[in-house]
Amino acid sequence: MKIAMATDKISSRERFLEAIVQSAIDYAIISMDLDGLVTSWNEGARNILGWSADDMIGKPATVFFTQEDRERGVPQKEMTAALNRGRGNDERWHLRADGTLFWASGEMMALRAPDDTVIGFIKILRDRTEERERVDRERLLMHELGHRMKNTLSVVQAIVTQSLRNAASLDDASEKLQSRIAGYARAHEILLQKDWVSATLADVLDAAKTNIGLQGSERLRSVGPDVQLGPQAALSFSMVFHELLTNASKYGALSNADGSVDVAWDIERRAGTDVLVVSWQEAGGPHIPSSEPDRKGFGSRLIISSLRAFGEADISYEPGGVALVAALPLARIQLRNDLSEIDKNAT
Amino acid sequence: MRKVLVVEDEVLIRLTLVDALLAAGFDVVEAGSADEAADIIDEQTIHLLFTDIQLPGTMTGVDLAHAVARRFPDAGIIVASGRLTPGADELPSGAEFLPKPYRFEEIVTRLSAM
Repeated sequence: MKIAMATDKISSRERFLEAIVQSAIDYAIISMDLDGLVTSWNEGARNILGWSADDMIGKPATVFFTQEDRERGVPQKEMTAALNRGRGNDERWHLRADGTLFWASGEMMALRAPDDTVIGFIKILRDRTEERERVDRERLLMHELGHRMKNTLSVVQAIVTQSLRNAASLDDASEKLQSRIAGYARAHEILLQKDWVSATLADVLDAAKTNIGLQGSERLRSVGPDVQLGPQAALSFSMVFHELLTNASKYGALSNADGSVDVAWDIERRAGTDVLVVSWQEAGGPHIPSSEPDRKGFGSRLIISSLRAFGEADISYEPGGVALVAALPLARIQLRNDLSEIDKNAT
Repeated sequence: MRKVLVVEDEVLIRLTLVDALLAAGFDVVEAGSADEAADIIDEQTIHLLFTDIQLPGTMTGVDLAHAVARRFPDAGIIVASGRLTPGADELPSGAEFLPKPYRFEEIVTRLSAM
């Protein structure tokens, strides 16, 4: 710490106080005269603001205020508040020597002589940039969670509406509702396990199988490399697999004792683009009459529309069951958004 | 029969709203993005627009609402969002805002009244 006064006149008590100020390296402790010129500048001030005591002694303390605050007379207002009320505190952006900004909580106090006359000011600053950024991140995260919650409620509303509209009975509606919402919840769970960044296609399929009690079924075979899906694609695939599995269990290849389903996927290079090619092929299922209501029903439309949001998809109803092929550009299905971006920015 | 353009990237929500509008007697065209919807309004006449605000692609639902208002000045427009609440001056004159989650019947009622 450097103090602009004759050191031979400093008492032992003042040396004790100086040692305290010197050791407070997380706090910038700055004294000024009545004209706002710096008279002392501790090690904490050097750490936080970047200027050394030699740089600052005798210079205006306004240098670490932003241009905008200087133009608005903020340094003078702080001194006036300290004079009138003894002290004043605030939080604002300040400037470092390298020109970067930091968020500081600060307190300005009047410095009085033994006869109580004001001889200057003491300003104590603390760098609160990390706390400020954390609060900003939390606010952003809460906003995003609010959005996601409203969107999820809207999806659940749609699930309820569709399940009731297309149900044959109350029991049927209840079963559809519960399994669709549970499937959607499982997909969320997988994404949350990976900070809402991604989920593998295999994990999404396994979750959908488990949701309707088909975990470990040897009649449902799947093969493919590890493919990461972005949050939106993971949720879409969870709904697609749920509809396919439910349809296969009720009407298709898994509704009798002999049928089977093969799910295969791979990455192919097509026209200079990596494309995820997924196929769902049922075999050995009962013959589905052409009048089957679900053929052009909500489930089929949901499957095709969900996949076509990312690329190409076609579904056909063959004698042994459903056949589905989709070709989806990898960049589109791996797109990360909202919460995952916040998480990335936070690290 | 009046034609409604429904623009919503959440497929389940879009299909449910489309079904509700079809059941109410509207002619419906649908899109998953405002860019896709912009192509539709270049080729077809629409009388009503329902669009989410945040959509994949280069255009937002608000951009689309303005494009529809320019092309079809008499079109009724509803924009919806769970994230943003646009100011009245951000939407075309006469356009309505609906926060998510919304009741599908309410959208049908509002579009029917436009």
